[in-house]
Amino acid sequence: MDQLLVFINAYLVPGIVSGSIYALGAIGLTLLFGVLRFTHFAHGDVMTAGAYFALTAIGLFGLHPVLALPIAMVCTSALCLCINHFFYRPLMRRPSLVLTISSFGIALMIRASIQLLYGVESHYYVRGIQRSTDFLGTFRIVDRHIWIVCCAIVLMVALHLLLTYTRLGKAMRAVSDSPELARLTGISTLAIVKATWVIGGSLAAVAGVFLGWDGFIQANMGWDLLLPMSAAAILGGLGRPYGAMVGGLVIGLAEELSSYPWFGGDALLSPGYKTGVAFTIMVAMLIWRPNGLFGGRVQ
Amino acid sequence: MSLLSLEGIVAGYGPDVPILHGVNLHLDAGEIVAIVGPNGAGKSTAMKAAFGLLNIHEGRIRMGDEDVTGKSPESIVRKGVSFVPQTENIFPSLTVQENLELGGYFSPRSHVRAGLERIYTLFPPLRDKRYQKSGCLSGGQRQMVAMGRALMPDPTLMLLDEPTAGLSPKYAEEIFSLVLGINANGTSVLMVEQNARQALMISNRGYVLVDGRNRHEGPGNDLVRDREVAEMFLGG
Ligand SMILES: Nc1ncnc2c1ncn2[C@@H]1O[C@H](COP(=O)(O)OP(=O)(O)OP(=O)(O)O)[C@@H](O)[C@H]1O
Ligand SMILES: [Mg+2]
Repeated sequence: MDQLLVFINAYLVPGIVSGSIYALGAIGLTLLFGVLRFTHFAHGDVMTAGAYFALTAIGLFGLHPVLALPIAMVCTSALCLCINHFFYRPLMRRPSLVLTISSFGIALMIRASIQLLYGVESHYYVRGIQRSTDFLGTFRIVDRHIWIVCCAIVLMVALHLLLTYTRLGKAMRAVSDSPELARLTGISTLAIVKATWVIGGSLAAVAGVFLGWDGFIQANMGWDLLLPMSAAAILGGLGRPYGAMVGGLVIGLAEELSSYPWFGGDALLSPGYKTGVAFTIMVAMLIWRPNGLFGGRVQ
Repeated sequence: MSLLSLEGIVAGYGPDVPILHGVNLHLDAGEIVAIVGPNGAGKSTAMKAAFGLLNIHEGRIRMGDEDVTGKSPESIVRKGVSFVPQTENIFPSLTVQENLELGGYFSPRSHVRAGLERIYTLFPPLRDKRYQKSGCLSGGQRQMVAMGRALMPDPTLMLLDEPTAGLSPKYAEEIFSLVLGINANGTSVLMVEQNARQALMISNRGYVLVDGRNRHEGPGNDLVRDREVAEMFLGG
């Protein structure tokens, strides 16, 4: 029983929590890839920006981190729309590699701006001991973990409804399937691109806030997450939002469970190698199943 | 006044190398017009030019009394013109019904519902497959989805690029009678066809395009009977 308790509290729950965070980031990456056909390397830093927007809101109004989410989402969406307008849109007709490389530049710009404004030291949303809730009298789960997982689920269900039932969602999937046919059908690519930035930026902001809430806020926090998020997106198949959700969860769990002492008393892998797990999965996927776990179309 | 006219179109996929070297063609309300010619003649290119997908270097494109040269495809489709391209003419990861709904992307909701009913009556096999991914359908059914999508807004003019390509003779026959039906319902049709003889026979007029230039034109039946056209382009 003790063993199970440790497994759940120290490995399974943290795995699900970081999996949710990866999934939220990876959805943005994968949607942007589907619509714009390029890998957005600044996505991690967009997350960081979201975390700092929330930090500012919490500092100003003393909000609960969950209440700071909408503010972070709006501000981050606005930031993404500006970046798109001034940097990516002028390059849209160039090969997608140009966009990819320029997104590296954007990543550096965001990070440098944050360091200038907020300094390089770590910040926290909440200080002191965190409340937790007991389940079935034994499992003790910190409240913020419950919030994080529940919010992530709500957002993913909302995204699912949007993609399946709304005109915008169908148009987004159409552009991701075939941009030229979408134009012939009367769908304005420009509007869809903007909507994708708003959705991807909002989800990244939430991921950033959760990441900061579960640890600390620091200028490199998002950049460090780019690897597991890309791994999640590739695992699910680039351009497939549902794949990214599953991919995020798989990567999060794989990272945490890899350091569980499965055989005997020692950790299977030292926790220091966590990022190596995501990297290994990503490389293996690129070699054997480049279209993702669920196969299928990626041109 | 012509529904659509291309006047001395010089156009290409980039700003320099032209593929069309001065194409002239027009289509009057109520007509079926066929464009035929050898592979690589620029037939598809001419259609894409009409739909605003290319760089027009010289010449004018008019729809009715309006000059639409340089207009985007998004705005041309809103003028009641639909286009079914030769390749990539469905959204494979979307269901049949979603494909059709997108055909009515800019129409009011009630039109979309009525349109779906109209399309399912026209293509009964699609009704049973409406919740299936269109990418999983057979070639003939994909073509139905593509044409259904284009018919959703009830267009005044429809551009069809090789609607019978890759289909069995029986299916091709069905497509041709469908085109006649669409036309009888008041939609003018401009089509490119590899099955040139059949296409010309159901068309009011036809154009033979070679190397990005007009080579012959005339009433469909005359072109079929013309000895030179028959020998060069209709396989004797
Ligand atoms: N996307 C493109 N970019 C550049 N050149 C192209 C493109 N598509 C076609 N071409 C070129 O334009 C010329 C005309 O092609 P087009 O597709 O219009 O011929 P077509 O008459 O439709 O032939 P087919 O009967 O094979 O469909 C060809 O030389 C082709 O190589
Ligand atoms: Mg062609």
